[in-house]
Amino acid sequence: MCPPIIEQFIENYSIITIHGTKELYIENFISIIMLTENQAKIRAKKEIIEICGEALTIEYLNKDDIKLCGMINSIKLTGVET
Amino acid sequence: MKKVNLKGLLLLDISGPGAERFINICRHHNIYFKNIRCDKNSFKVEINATDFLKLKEYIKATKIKIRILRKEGLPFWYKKQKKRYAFLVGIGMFIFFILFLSRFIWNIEINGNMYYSEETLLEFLYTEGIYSGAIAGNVNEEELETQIRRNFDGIIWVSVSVNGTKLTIDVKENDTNPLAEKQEEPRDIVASKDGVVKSVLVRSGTAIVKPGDEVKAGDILVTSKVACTNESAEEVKVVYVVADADIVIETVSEYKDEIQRNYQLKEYTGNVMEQQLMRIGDKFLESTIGKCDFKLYDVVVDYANPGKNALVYGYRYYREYVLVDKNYSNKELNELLQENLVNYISKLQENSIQIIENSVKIDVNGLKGTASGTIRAYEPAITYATPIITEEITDETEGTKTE
Repeated sequence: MCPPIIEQFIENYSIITIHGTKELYIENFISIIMLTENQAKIRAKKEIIEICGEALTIEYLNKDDIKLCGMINSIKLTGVET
Repeated sequence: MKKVNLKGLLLLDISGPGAERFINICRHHNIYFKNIRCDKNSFKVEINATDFLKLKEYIKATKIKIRILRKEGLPFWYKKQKKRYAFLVGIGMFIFFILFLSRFIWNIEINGNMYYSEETLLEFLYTEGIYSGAIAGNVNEEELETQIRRNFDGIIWVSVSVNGTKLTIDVKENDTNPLAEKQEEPRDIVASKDGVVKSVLVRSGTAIVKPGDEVKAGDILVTSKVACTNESAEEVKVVYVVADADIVIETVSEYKDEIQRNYQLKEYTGNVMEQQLMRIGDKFLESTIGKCDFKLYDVVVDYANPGKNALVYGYRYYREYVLVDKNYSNKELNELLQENLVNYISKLQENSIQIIENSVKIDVNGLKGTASGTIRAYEPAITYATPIITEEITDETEGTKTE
Protein backbone atom coordinates (compact mmCIF):
# COMPACT_ATOMS: atom_id res chain seq x y z
CA MET A 1 0.00 0.00 0.00
CA CYS A 2 1.33 3.44 -0.96
CA PRO A 3 2.06 6.03 1.74
CA PRO A 4 -0.64 8.79 1.81
CA ILE A 5 1.63 11.43 0.29
CA ILE A 6 2.50 9.25 -2.74
CA GLU A 7 -1.14 8.24 -3.16
CA GLN A 8 -2.12 11.88 -3.22
CA PHE A 9 0.62 12.59 -5.79
CA ILE A 10 -0.58 9.78 -8.04
CA GLU A 11 -4.14 11.08 -7.90
CA ASN A 12 -3.29 14.71 -8.61
CA TYR A 13 -0.46 14.55 -11.12
CA SER A 14 0.31 12.86 -14.40
CA ILE A 15 3.57 11.03 -14.99
CA ILE A 16 5.21 11.51 -18.34
CA THR A 17 7.89 9.06 -19.42
CA ILE A 18 9.79 9.48 -22.64
CA HIS A 19 12.02 6.80 -24.20
CA GLY A 20 14.40 8.47 -26.61
CA THR A 21 12.50 10.19 -29.36
CA LYS A 22 10.32 7.24 -30.30
CA GLU A 23 8.01 6.51 -27.40
CA LEU A 24 6.09 8.50 -24.85
CA TYR A 25 4.02 7.20 -21.93
CA ILE A 26 1.58 9.31 -20.02
CA GLU A 27 0.03 7.96 -16.86
CA ASN A 28 -3.10 9.52 -15.39
CA PHE A 29 -4.17 11.31 -18.52
CA ILE A 30 -7.67 12.73 -18.93
CA SER A 31 -8.46 12.74 -22.63
CA ILE A 32 -7.24 13.18 -26.16
CA ILE A 33 -7.84 16.72 -27.37
CA MET A 34 -6.41 16.41 -30.82
CA LEU A 35 -4.48 13.92 -32.91
CA THR A 36 -2.96 14.49 -36.32
CA GLU A 37 0.00 12.94 -38.04
CA ASN A 38 2.34 15.69 -36.79
CA GLN A 39 0.71 16.90 -33.61
CA ALA A 40 -1.05 15.46 -30.61
CA LYS A 41 -2.64 17.25 -27.67
CA ILE A 42 -3.36 15.25 -24.54
CA ARG A 43 -5.13 16.61 -21.49
CA ALA A 44 -3.34 15.48 -18.37
CA LYS A 45 -4.31 16.09 -14.72
CA LYS A 46 -3.04 19.65 -14.42
CA GLU A 47 -1.69 20.47 -17.86
CA ILE A 48 -2.10 20.03 -21.55
CA ILE A 49 0.71 18.11 -23.21
CA GLU A 50 1.39 19.15 -26.75
CA ILE A 51 3.56 16.79 -28.74
CA CYS A 52 4.98 17.68 -32.12
CA GLY A 53 6.62 15.16 -34.37
CA GLU A 54 6.16 12.91 -37.36
CA ALA A 55 3.94 9.85 -37.94
CA LEU A 56 2.46 10.06 -34.47
CA THR A 57 0.41 7.03 -33.49
CA ILE A 58 -1.36 6.03 -30.31
CA GLU A 59 -0.19 2.47 -29.90
CA TYR A 60 -2.58 1.74 -27.08
CA LEU A 61 -4.65 3.48 -24.48
CA ASN A 62 -6.68 2.42 -21.50
CA LYS A 63 -8.46 4.10 -18.63
CA ASP A 64 -5.33 5.79 -17.20
CA ASP A 65 -2.42 5.32 -19.58
CA ILE A 66 -1.59 6.17 -23.12
CA LYS A 67 1.42 5.29 -25.25
CA LEU A 68 2.42 7.40 -28.22
CA CYS A 69 4.87 6.27 -30.85
CA GLY A 70 6.50 8.03 -33.74
CA MET A 71 9.28 10.52 -34.26
CA ILE A 72 8.91 13.01 -31.37
CA ASN A 73 10.43 16.43 -32.00
CA SER A 74 9.11 18.46 -29.07
CA ILE A 75 6.92 18.26 -26.00
CA LYS A 76 5.27 21.33 -24.62
CA LEU A 77 3.29 21.66 -21.41
CA THR A 78 0.66 24.39 -21.31
CA GLY A 79 -2.03 25.51 -18.91
CA VAL A 80 -0.02 24.45 -15.87
CA GLU A 81 -1.82 25.00 -12.60
CA THR A 82 0.38 25.92 -9.65
CA MET B 1 5.15 -15.63 -36.97
CA LYS B 2 1.87 -13.79 -37.06
CA LYS B 3 -0.19 -14.24 -33.93
CA VAL B 4 -3.68 -15.66 -34.50
CA ASN B 5 -6.30 -13.39 -32.98
CA LEU B 6 -8.83 -15.67 -31.34
CA LYS B 7 -11.33 -12.92 -30.52
CA GLY B 8 -11.22 -11.23 -33.91
CA LEU B 9 -9.86 -7.81 -34.79
CA LEU B 10 -11.35 -5.02 -36.89
CA LEU B 11 -9.54 -2.20 -38.63
CA LEU B 12 -11.88 0.83 -38.66
CA ASP B 13 -11.87 4.14 -40.41
CA ILE B 14 -13.42 6.84 -38.19
CA SER B 15 -14.22 10.14 -39.81
CA GLY B 16 -16.07 13.21 -38.66
CA PRO B 17 -15.37 16.22 -36.46
CA GLY B 18 -16.05 14.40 -33.19
CA ALA B 19 -13.62 11.53 -33.73
CA GLU B 20 -11.39 12.44 -30.76
CA ARG B 21 -14.45 12.85 -28.57
CA PHE B 22 -15.70 9.46 -29.71
CA ILE B 23 -12.40 7.84 -28.73
CA ASN B 24 -12.53 9.52 -25.32
CA ILE B 25 -16.12 8.44 -24.68
CA CYS B 26 -15.33 4.87 -25.65
CA ARG B 27 -12.36 4.91 -23.31
CA HIS B 28 -14.55 6.04 -20.44
CA HIS B 29 -16.82 3.10 -21.15
CA ASN B 30 -13.89 0.66 -21.16
CA ILE B 31 -13.76 0.26 -24.91
CA TYR B 32 -10.14 0.62 -25.92
CA PHE B 33 -8.69 1.19 -29.35
CA LYS B 34 -5.21 0.25 -30.50
CA ASN B 35 -2.84 1.70 -33.08
CA ILE B 36 -4.72 4.96 -33.52
CA ARG B 37 -3.24 7.01 -36.34
CA CYS B 38 -4.46 10.02 -38.18
CA ASP B 39 -4.76 9.61 -41.91
CA LYS B 40 -5.80 12.85 -43.65
CA ASN B 41 -9.27 13.58 -42.24
CA SER B 42 -9.93 10.30 -40.55
CA PHE B 43 -8.54 7.96 -37.94
CA LYS B 44 -7.51 4.42 -38.54
CA VAL B 45 -8.00 2.35 -35.39
CA GLU B 46 -8.01 -1.28 -34.39
CA ILE B 47 -10.63 -2.73 -32.06
CA ASN B 48 -11.62 -6.14 -30.78
CA ALA B 49 -14.62 -7.62 -32.60
CA THR B 50 -16.57 -8.03 -29.36
CA ASP B 51 -16.13 -4.33 -28.47
CA PHE B 52 -17.27 -3.23 -31.90
CA LEU B 53 -20.85 -4.25 -31.13
CA LYS B 54 -20.92 -1.83 -28.14
CA LEU B 55 -20.09 1.22 -30.26
CA LYS B 56 -23.55 1.85 -31.72
CA GLU B 57 -24.91 4.39 -29.24
CA TYR B 58 -21.64 6.34 -29.05
CA ILE B 59 -21.54 6.63 -32.85
CA LYS B 60 -25.00 8.21 -32.76
CA ALA B 61 -24.01 10.58 -29.98
CA THR B 62 -20.87 11.89 -31.67
CA LYS B 63 -22.25 11.77 -35.23
CA ILE B 64 -19.18 10.22 -36.73
CA LYS B 65 -18.92 7.77 -39.60
CA ILE B 66 -17.35 4.39 -39.24
CA ARG B 67 -16.18 2.15 -42.06
CA ILE B 68 -14.79 -1.33 -41.56
CA LEU B 69 -11.59 -1.65 -43.56
CA ARG B 70 -10.45 -5.12 -42.61
CA LYS B 71 -11.55 -8.07 -40.51
CA GLU B 72 -9.14 -10.61 -39.19
CA GLY B 73 -9.01 -13.35 -36.56
CA LEU B 74 -10.65 -16.68 -35.88
CA PRO B 75 -14.35 -15.65 -35.76
CA PHE B 76 -14.19 -14.09 -39.24
CA TRP B 77 -12.16 -16.98 -40.60
CA TYR B 78 -14.72 -19.41 -39.22
CA LYS B 79 -17.56 -17.47 -40.79
CA LYS B 80 -15.80 -17.54 -44.15
CA GLN B 81 -15.15 -21.27 -43.90
CA LYS B 82 -18.69 -22.06 -42.80
CA LYS B 83 -19.80 -22.87 -46.34
CA ARG B 84 -16.91 -25.26 -46.87
CA TYR B 85 -18.51 -28.13 -44.99
CA ALA B 86 -16.12 -30.83 -46.17
CA PHE B 87 -13.14 -28.82 -44.97
CA LEU B 88 -14.66 -28.26 -41.55
CA VAL B 89 -15.75 -31.87 -41.30
CA GLY B 90 -12.18 -32.84 -42.22
CA ILE B 91 -10.75 -30.70 -39.46
CA GLY B 92 -13.30 -32.10 -37.03
CA MET B 93 -12.47 -35.66 -38.04
CA PHE B 94 -8.76 -34.95 -37.80
CA ILE B 95 -9.16 -33.69 -34.23
CA PHE B 96 -11.44 -36.60 -33.40
CA PHE B 97 -9.01 -39.19 -34.76
CA ILE B 98 -6.05 -37.59 -33.06
CA LEU B 99 -7.89 -37.67 -29.75
CA PHE B 100 -9.27 -41.15 -30.39
CA LEU B 101 -6.01 -42.70 -31.54
CA SER B 102 -4.03 -41.12 -28.73
CA ARG B 103 -5.89 -43.43 -26.37
CA PHE B 104 -4.00 -46.42 -27.75
CA ILE B 105 -0.45 -47.66 -27.49
CA TRP B 106 1.26 -47.51 -30.86
CA ASN B 107 4.87 -47.99 -29.94
CA ILE B 108 6.49 -50.36 -27.47
CA GLU B 109 10.12 -49.74 -26.60
CA ILE B 110 12.12 -52.22 -24.57
CA ASN B 111 15.50 -51.17 -23.22
CA GLY B 112 18.21 -52.99 -21.34
CA ASN B 113 17.39 -56.54 -22.44
CA MET B 114 20.34 -58.69 -23.44
CA TYR B 115 19.40 -62.24 -22.65
CA TYR B 116 15.66 -62.09 -23.31
CA SER B 117 15.02 -61.04 -26.88
CA GLU B 118 12.60 -58.27 -27.71
CA GLU B 119 10.38 -60.81 -29.48
CA THR B 120 10.16 -62.93 -26.32
CA LEU B 121 9.16 -59.96 -24.22
CA LEU B 122 6.69 -58.71 -26.84
CA GLU B 123 5.21 -62.20 -27.00
CA PHE B 124 4.74 -62.12 -23.24
CA LEU B 125 3.21 -58.65 -23.37
CA TYR B 126 0.82 -59.91 -26.04
CA THR B 127 -0.40 -62.64 -23.70
CA GLU B 128 -0.94 -59.93 -21.10
CA GLY B 129 -3.12 -58.04 -23.58
CA ILE B 130 -0.54 -55.36 -24.30
CA TYR B 131 0.42 -54.85 -27.92
CA SER B 132 0.62 -52.10 -30.43
CA GLY B 133 -3.00 -51.00 -30.67
CA ALA B 134 -4.04 -51.88 -27.12
CA ILE B 135 -5.86 -49.26 -25.05
CA ALA B 136 -3.32 -47.27 -23.06
CA GLY B 137 -5.71 -46.92 -20.12
CA ASN B 138 -5.76 -50.69 -19.64
CA VAL B 139 -2.05 -50.81 -18.87
CA ASN B 140 -1.55 -51.22 -15.15
CA GLU B 141 2.10 -50.30 -14.89
CA GLU B 142 2.73 -51.73 -11.43
CA GLU B 143 0.89 -54.95 -12.20
CA LEU B 144 2.82 -55.35 -15.45
CA GLU B 145 6.13 -54.81 -13.67
CA THR B 146 5.20 -57.53 -11.19
CA GLN B 147 4.17 -59.91 -13.97
CA ILE B 148 7.40 -59.39 -15.89
CA ARG B 149 9.52 -60.01 -12.80
CA ARG B 150 7.47 -63.08 -11.94
CA ASN B 151 7.72 -64.62 -15.40
CA PHE B 152 11.32 -63.80 -16.21
CA ASP B 153 13.67 -64.95 -13.46
CA GLY B 154 16.63 -63.29 -15.13
CA ILE B 155 15.07 -59.83 -14.90
CA ILE B 156 15.94 -58.31 -11.56
CA TRP B 157 14.53 -54.82 -12.12
CA VAL B 158 11.85 -53.49 -14.43
CA SER B 159 10.21 -50.15 -14.98
CA VAL B 160 7.10 -49.66 -17.10
CA SER B 161 5.92 -46.24 -18.16
CA VAL B 162 3.33 -44.99 -20.61
CA ASN B 163 4.08 -41.66 -22.23
CA GLY B 164 1.34 -40.67 -24.62
CA THR B 165 1.07 -43.52 -27.08
CA LYS B 166 4.44 -45.00 -26.23
CA LEU B 167 5.00 -47.79 -23.73
CA THR B 168 8.56 -47.89 -22.46
CA ILE B 169 9.87 -50.90 -20.59
CA ASP B 170 13.31 -50.62 -19.03
CA VAL B 171 14.73 -53.83 -17.66
CA LYS B 172 17.88 -54.87 -15.88
CA GLU B 173 18.91 -58.47 -16.22
CA ASN B 174 20.88 -60.67 -13.90
CA ASP B 175 24.45 -61.11 -15.14
CA THR B 176 24.40 -64.89 -14.67
CA ASN B 177 22.56 -67.06 -17.17
CA PRO B 178 19.09 -67.33 -15.67
CA LEU B 179 18.17 -70.34 -17.72
CA ALA B 180 21.15 -72.44 -16.72
CA GLU B 181 19.66 -75.54 -15.23
CA LYS B 182 20.84 -76.41 -11.85
CA GLN B 183 21.61 -80.10 -11.95
CA GLU B 184 20.77 -81.85 -8.75
CA GLU B 185 20.44 -85.52 -9.74
CA PRO B 186 23.72 -87.51 -9.74
CA ARG B 187 25.20 -88.05 -13.19
CA ASP B 188 28.22 -89.65 -14.85
CA ILE B 189 30.30 -88.19 -17.61
CA VAL B 190 30.62 -90.52 -20.60
CA ALA B 191 32.49 -90.26 -23.88
CA SER B 192 30.40 -89.28 -26.88
CA LYS B 193 33.05 -90.32 -29.43
CA ASP B 194 35.89 -92.81 -29.77
CA GLY B 195 39.34 -91.37 -29.14
CA VAL B 196 42.27 -90.88 -26.82
CA VAL B 197 41.97 -88.84 -23.66
CA LYS B 198 44.11 -85.72 -23.87
CA SER B 199 43.45 -84.12 -20.51
CA VAL B 200 41.20 -84.57 -17.49
CA LEU B 201 40.32 -81.90 -14.95
CA VAL B 202 37.75 -83.12 -12.45
CA ARG B 203 35.82 -80.75 -10.27
CA SER B 204 33.32 -83.20 -8.91
CA GLY B 205 33.18 -87.01 -9.09
CA THR B 206 35.82 -89.70 -9.55
CA ALA B 207 37.90 -89.89 -12.73
CA ILE B 208 37.97 -93.35 -14.33
CA VAL B 209 40.31 -92.40 -17.17
CA LYS B 210 43.62 -90.61 -17.33
CA PRO B 211 45.40 -88.81 -20.17
CA GLY B 212 46.55 -91.23 -22.84
CA ASP B 213 43.73 -93.74 -22.27
CA GLU B 214 41.84 -94.90 -25.29
CA VAL B 215 38.08 -94.59 -24.91
CA LYS B 216 35.07 -95.64 -26.92
CA ALA B 217 31.76 -93.81 -27.23
CA GLY B 218 29.67 -94.57 -24.16
CA ASP B 219 32.58 -95.30 -21.83
CA ILE B 220 32.32 -93.69 -18.42
CA LEU B 221 35.02 -91.05 -18.02
CA VAL B 222 34.10 -89.59 -14.65
CA THR B 223 31.78 -91.43 -12.35
CA SER B 224 29.41 -89.79 -9.93
CA LYS B 225 30.32 -92.31 -7.28
CA VAL B 226 32.69 -90.91 -4.67
CA ALA B 227 34.06 -93.07 -1.91
CA CYS B 228 34.80 -91.37 1.39
CA THR B 229 37.67 -92.84 3.30
CA ASN B 230 38.87 -92.50 6.85
CA GLU B 231 42.39 -91.83 8.06
CA SER B 232 43.39 -95.46 7.40
CA ALA B 233 42.23 -95.18 3.79
CA GLU B 234 39.30 -97.46 4.45
CA GLU B 235 36.08 -96.82 2.66
CA VAL B 236 33.51 -95.66 5.16
CA LYS B 237 30.70 -94.52 2.92
CA VAL B 238 29.77 -93.86 -0.71
CA VAL B 239 28.03 -90.80 -2.06
CA TYR B 240 26.75 -90.02 -5.53
CA VAL B 241 27.41 -86.55 -6.83
CA VAL B 242 26.91 -84.55 -9.98
CA ALA B 243 30.07 -85.33 -11.94
CA ASP B 244 31.69 -82.22 -13.33
CA ALA B 245 34.96 -82.15 -15.28
CA ASP B 246 36.80 -80.67 -18.24
CA ILE B 247 37.84 -83.54 -20.48
CA VAL B 248 39.50 -83.20 -23.84
CA ILE B 249 39.57 -86.20 -26.17
CA GLU B 250 41.58 -86.53 -29.33
CA THR B 251 39.13 -87.75 -31.95
CA VAL B 252 39.26 -88.66 -35.59
CA SER B 253 36.16 -87.76 -37.60
CA GLU B 254 35.28 -88.80 -41.11
CA TYR B 255 34.51 -85.97 -43.50
CA LYS B 256 32.69 -86.51 -46.76
CA ASP B 257 31.17 -83.98 -49.11
CA GLU B 258 29.88 -84.46 -52.63
CA ILE B 259 28.67 -81.98 -55.26
CA GLN B 260 27.16 -83.05 -58.60
CA ARG B 261 28.65 -81.36 -61.63
CA ASN B 262 25.27 -80.59 -63.23
CA TYR B 263 22.83 -78.39 -61.34
CA GLN B 264 19.78 -76.25 -61.93
CA LEU B 265 20.19 -72.52 -61.58
CA LYS B 266 17.33 -70.16 -60.74
CA GLU B 267 17.35 -67.42 -63.29
CA TYR B 268 15.01 -64.59 -62.40
CA THR B 269 13.08 -63.33 -65.38
CA GLY B 270 12.63 -59.91 -63.81
CA ASN B 271 8.83 -60.29 -63.68
CA VAL B 272 7.65 -59.29 -60.24
CA MET B 273 4.06 -59.20 -59.06
CA GLU B 274 3.12 -57.43 -55.90
CA GLN B 275 0.11 -58.04 -53.74
CA GLN B 276 -0.99 -55.91 -50.84
CA LEU B 277 -1.77 -57.60 -47.59
CA MET B 278 -3.05 -56.42 -44.28
CA ARG B 279 -3.58 -58.10 -40.95
CA ILE B 280 -6.10 -56.77 -38.46
CA GLY B 281 -5.78 -58.63 -35.19
CA ASP B 282 -5.39 -62.26 -36.27
CA LYS B 283 -7.22 -61.94 -39.58
CA PHE B 284 -5.40 -61.54 -42.87
CA LEU B 285 -6.91 -59.42 -45.59
CA GLU B 286 -5.33 -60.00 -48.95
CA SER B 287 -6.00 -58.28 -52.18
CA THR B 288 -7.38 -60.87 -54.58
CA ILE B 289 -6.81 -58.62 -57.57
CA GLY B 290 -4.16 -59.98 -59.89
CA LYS B 291 -3.53 -63.52 -58.63
CA CYS B 292 -0.07 -64.78 -59.41
CA ASP B 293 0.01 -66.94 -62.54
CA PHE B 294 3.76 -67.57 -62.63
CA LYS B 295 4.76 -71.21 -62.92
CA LEU B 296 7.84 -70.94 -60.74
CA TYR B 297 8.30 -68.11 -58.34
CA ASP B 298 9.80 -67.01 -55.04
CA VAL B 299 7.62 -65.28 -52.51
CA VAL B 300 9.00 -62.39 -50.49
CA VAL B 301 6.83 -60.84 -47.79
CA ASP B 302 7.74 -57.37 -46.69
CA TYR B 303 5.88 -55.96 -43.71
CA ALA B 304 5.98 -52.22 -43.23
CA ASN B 305 5.56 -52.60 -39.46
CA PRO B 306 6.54 -56.10 -38.36
CA GLY B 307 5.85 -57.27 -34.85
CA LYS B 308 2.87 -57.71 -32.62
CA ASN B 309 0.78 -54.88 -33.91
CA ALA B 310 -2.97 -54.62 -34.11
CA LEU B 311 -2.68 -53.52 -37.70
CA VAL B 312 0.06 -54.92 -39.87
CA TYR B 313 0.34 -54.11 -43.53
CA GLY B 314 2.82 -54.82 -46.23
CA TYR B 315 3.44 -56.37 -49.63
CA ARG B 316 3.93 -59.87 -50.94
CA TYR B 317 6.22 -60.01 -53.94
CA TYR B 318 6.19 -62.90 -56.41
CA ARG B 319 9.46 -63.10 -58.31
CA GLU B 320 9.30 -65.34 -61.36
CA TYR B 321 12.23 -67.55 -62.24
CA VAL B 322 13.10 -70.32 -64.64
CA LEU B 323 15.36 -73.29 -63.97
CA VAL B 324 18.36 -73.52 -66.25
CA ASP B 325 20.56 -76.63 -66.46
CA LYS B 326 24.21 -75.75 -65.85
CA ASN B 327 27.48 -77.54 -65.19
CA TYR B 328 30.17 -76.56 -62.73
CA SER B 329 33.66 -76.28 -64.09
CA ASN B 330 36.48 -78.15 -62.33
CA LYS B 331 37.64 -74.92 -60.75
CA GLU B 332 34.16 -74.08 -59.48
CA LEU B 333 33.71 -77.57 -58.02
CA ASN B 334 37.06 -77.29 -56.28
CA GLU B 335 36.20 -73.90 -54.87
CA LEU B 336 32.77 -75.03 -53.65
CA LEU B 337 34.14 -78.13 -51.94
CA GLN B 338 36.94 -76.08 -50.41
CA GLU B 339 34.42 -73.49 -49.17
CA ASN B 340 32.22 -76.18 -47.61
CA LEU B 341 35.23 -77.65 -45.82
CA VAL B 342 36.31 -74.26 -44.49
CA ASN B 343 32.77 -73.61 -43.23
CA TYR B 344 32.67 -77.03 -41.56
CA ILE B 345 36.00 -76.41 -39.82
CA SER B 346 34.90 -72.91 -38.75
CA LYS B 347 31.78 -74.37 -37.17
CA LEU B 348 33.88 -76.93 -35.30
CA GLN B 349 36.19 -74.20 -34.04
CA GLU B 350 33.22 -72.16 -32.87
CA ASN B 351 32.30 -75.13 -30.66
CA SER B 352 35.72 -75.10 -28.93
CA ILE B 353 37.08 -77.89 -31.10
CA GLN B 354 40.76 -77.57 -31.91
CA ILE B 355 41.74 -79.05 -35.30
CA ILE B 356 45.17 -80.69 -35.20
CA GLU B 357 45.19 -82.49 -38.52
CA ASN B 358 43.15 -82.19 -41.66
CA SER B 359 43.66 -84.88 -44.28
CA VAL B 360 40.69 -84.18 -46.51
CA LYS B 361 41.38 -84.63 -50.22
CA ILE B 362 39.33 -83.16 -53.03
CA ASP B 363 38.75 -85.26 -56.11
CA VAL B 364 36.91 -84.00 -59.19
CA ASN B 365 35.77 -86.35 -61.93
CA GLY B 366 33.42 -86.11 -64.90
CA LEU B 367 30.15 -86.32 -62.94
CA LYS B 368 30.89 -84.93 -59.53
CA GLY B 369 33.39 -83.51 -57.08
CA THR B 370 34.12 -85.28 -53.82
CA ALA B 371 35.91 -84.16 -50.69
CA SER B 372 36.73 -86.97 -48.27
CA GLY B 373 39.18 -87.68 -45.53
CA THR B 374 39.59 -87.44 -41.79
CA ILE B 375 39.86 -84.59 -39.38
CA ARG B 376 41.83 -85.10 -36.20
CA ALA B 377 40.83 -82.76 -33.41
CA TYR B 378 40.88 -82.11 -29.69
CA GLU B 379 37.34 -81.75 -28.48
CA PRO B 380 35.29 -82.04 -25.29
CA ALA B 381 33.51 -85.11 -26.66
CA ILE B 382 31.48 -85.85 -23.57
CA THR B 383 27.88 -86.42 -22.65
CA TYR B 384 26.07 -87.23 -19.46
CA ALA B 385 24.39 -90.39 -18.22
CA THR B 386 22.41 -91.31 -15.17
CA PRO B 387 24.43 -93.65 -12.97
CA ILE B 388 23.21 -97.05 -11.82
CA ILE B 389 23.09 -96.60 -8.08
CA THR B 390 23.65 -99.87 -6.29
CA GLU B 391 24.37 -98.57 -2.85
CA GLU B 392 22.30 -96.39 -0.62
CA ILE B 393 23.20 -92.74 -0.65
CA THR B 394 24.40 -92.03 2.79
CA ASP B 395 25.40 -88.42 2.42
CA GLU B 396 24.35 -85.70 0.04
CA THR B 397 27.56 -83.79 0.49
CA GLU B 398 29.60 -83.57 -2.72
CA GLY B 399 32.98 -85.20 -2.56
CA THR B 400 35.79 -84.36 -4.95
CA LYS B 401 38.73 -86.12 -6.37
CA THR B 402 41.03 -84.44 -8.77
CA GLU B 403 43.53 -85.99 -11.11
